[in-house]
Amino acid sequence: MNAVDIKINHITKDYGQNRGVFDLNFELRRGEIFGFVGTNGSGKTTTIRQIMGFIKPNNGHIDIRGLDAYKDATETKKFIGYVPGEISFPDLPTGISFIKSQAEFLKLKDLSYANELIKIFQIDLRANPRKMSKGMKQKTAVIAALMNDADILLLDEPTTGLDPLMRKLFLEVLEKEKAKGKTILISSNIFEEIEALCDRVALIKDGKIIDIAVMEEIRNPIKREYKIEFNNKDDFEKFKLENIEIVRIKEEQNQVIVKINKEEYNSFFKTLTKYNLKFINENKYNLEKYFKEKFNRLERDGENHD
Amino acid sequence: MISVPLLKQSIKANGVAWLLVTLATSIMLGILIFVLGNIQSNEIRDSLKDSFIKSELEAQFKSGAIDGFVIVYDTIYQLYPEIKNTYDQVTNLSNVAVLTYDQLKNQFNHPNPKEGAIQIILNNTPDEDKPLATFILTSVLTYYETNNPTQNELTQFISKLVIDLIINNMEEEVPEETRAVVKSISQQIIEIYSKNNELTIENMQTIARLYIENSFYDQLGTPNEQTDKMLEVFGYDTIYELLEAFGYNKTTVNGIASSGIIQYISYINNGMEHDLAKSEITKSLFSQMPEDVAESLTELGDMNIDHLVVGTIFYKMAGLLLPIVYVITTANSLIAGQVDSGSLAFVLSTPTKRRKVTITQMIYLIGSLICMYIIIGVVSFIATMLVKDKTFSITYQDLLKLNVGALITVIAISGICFLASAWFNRSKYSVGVGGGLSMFFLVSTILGLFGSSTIPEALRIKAMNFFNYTTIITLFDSEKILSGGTYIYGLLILLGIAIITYIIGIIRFDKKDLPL
Repeated sequence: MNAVDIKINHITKDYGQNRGVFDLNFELRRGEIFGFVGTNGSGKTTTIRQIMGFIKPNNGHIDIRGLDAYKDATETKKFIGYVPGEISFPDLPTGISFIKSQAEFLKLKDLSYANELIKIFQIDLRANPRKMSKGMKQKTAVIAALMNDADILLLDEPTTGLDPLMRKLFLEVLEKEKAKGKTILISSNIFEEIEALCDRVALIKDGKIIDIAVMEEIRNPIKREYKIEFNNKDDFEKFKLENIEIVRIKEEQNQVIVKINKEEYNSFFKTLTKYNLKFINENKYNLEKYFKEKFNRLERDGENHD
Repeated sequence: MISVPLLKQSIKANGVAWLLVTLATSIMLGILIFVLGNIQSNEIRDSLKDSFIKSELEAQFKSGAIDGFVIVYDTIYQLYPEIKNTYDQVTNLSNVAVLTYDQLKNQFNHPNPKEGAIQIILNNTPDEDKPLATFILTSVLTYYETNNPTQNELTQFISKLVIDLIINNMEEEVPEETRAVVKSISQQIIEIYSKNNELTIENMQTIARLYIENSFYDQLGTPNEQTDKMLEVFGYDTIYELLEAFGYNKTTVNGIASSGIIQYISYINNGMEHDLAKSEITKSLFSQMPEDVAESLTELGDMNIDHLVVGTIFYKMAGLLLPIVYVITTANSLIAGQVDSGSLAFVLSTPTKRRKVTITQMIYLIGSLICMYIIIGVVSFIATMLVKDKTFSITYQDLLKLNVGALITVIAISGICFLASAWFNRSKYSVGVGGGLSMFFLVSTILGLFGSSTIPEALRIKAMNFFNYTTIITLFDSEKILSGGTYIYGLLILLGIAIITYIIGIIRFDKKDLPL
């Protein structure tokens, strides 16, 4: 297992009226992309601000490579790049002057990576940063966060405002960063853009982590679901007698949904050759389904408890 | 301890505002000094002073005239019965004497009709009246015998005789001047009485009035405390020199006295009390003031328009307005504005300490104010140099002190705005508290001016002085800088305010949660 870069130890930041984050406890491992999903106001930004040391938790602490996120906030910035959720630039005349100013803050002499990113994102930085479109602001902020080649990247909803093409480009850039061994925390309220990218995804709701999903397990589940429809009733009835795990049956359409273990693929498809199928379809498993299941289970548990 | 890129950002972001404020304030001051140096600003003061002094002088004339009138009137009132009696007695005696004399002389061919007449009349006179009667009869008949006068001449002689009797009747110690006054008044009384056989109140008032009217100007020469003080204040040897300097002559002075008395008579005849009537007539611009009139005049004489306009109105008000506006907007944009918008996230996501941010911004703010006042100061020097031979009366040294004082004041205000900016995460609260307080201080100073000792007492509204206690700008005592006195403690307190507010601001910003 990789070393832990950020360890969030039971932090609570209570803003009252159920707002804030409560007893968050998770970690970011070196080299992983960690997704942070939740609706607006669920506590994603509050968490990231605590990692940045901008706000102090009421309880608990965050450990970043042996440093305290709040007390050693200046030290940690040496290896953290940050894209804030709401982007507003300093009062400077052009995007270039902003990038140069940030480089000065970072004591960064070599702007070659910044220039490379500018090319990749196809952005014209001669514009006044305060008058940029949301997408341009987003790109400029991302360039500023990445240009220092920081080991840890904290990206608070970095893809909002980007068109689909740009979003793809951006995710590719993050893939490259990951390949370089960066640890990345990315928050979003869209499951799809995160599940392709992340190693693990945490779902946060009302300031509490619901679950942390390991994407590998979702992408390559031990059992896969298939939906099969038969051309005739006989086959349908016959199939039901096979030694195969059936999840659901739809009598009137001659449909079954089955769950097949990895090792049983061969024997399963062999068995299928005996039947006259109308179609067979894999019911893809994804993050949304995963969390929905988790959610339903939680709610059931909750009801049972009541 | 400071962040160079942040300093650069602050300069780029606020430089234009700084430049505009600096230029506008410098130009305003330059023009002000230039104008003051050329319009002979003290002419304004002098003409103001003139009108005050004239008003005061005229009030004093009227007051003196009324006092004189009252004394003369009282004298007439007291003299009248005595004169009336004496006159009646003398007239009766002289009529009888002349009649008897003529009879003795013409019908009886008396060898000595004078003595005869006297004897006859004395025989019919009570013993106690005999000495006076003898004197009157002797005088009248001697005159009658020697001069053979007409009736008119005889009447005049009798009048004179009556006056002599009145004067001789007065106490030994009555001074010569009073005797002269009584003599003059008695003449008038007798003149009217002899014609009308009575003397009305109106007659008495007229006599008194005319007497004062004719003698007032000459009597001003008599030394008294009030005039001596005035002469001392204005540096004249005699009251007449002073009167001449302010354009008065005998006719105008007597005219003023006369109008005062006429007013007084009409008030009194309409039933007004003496005190009220007098104060009503002698109201001057100074008369409502409790302090000594001479003191007020001294103060007005000392008033310096350059000190008032440059020292107070410019350096404490007009010239502070733009720098304070600059401080309010800049202090906010240096911290709270960047927290509110979120742009400070980019600075704090680099290895830049919060304290480094606040100290850098503090240095920018204070540094920009120092530069601003260096430029304003240089402009004030140049402007003064251009008008120096003329009438501008503030020295370079005092200008330097004024600039330093104003700078310290603005820095103290900047500390308050900085504290608000470091304390609040929202611009609206930062500007509301920091800007609100600063503006309150400035407006209080403007209101307080009307009650401050900078304004001559004659124009001052004392109650407004309250506002001077509600503003820290009072601690910058520009008047003391210009006219002498200790001003240093106020400036030290302002520096203390600046130090404390900046320190609290820096500490607060270190500790608070930032929504970035």
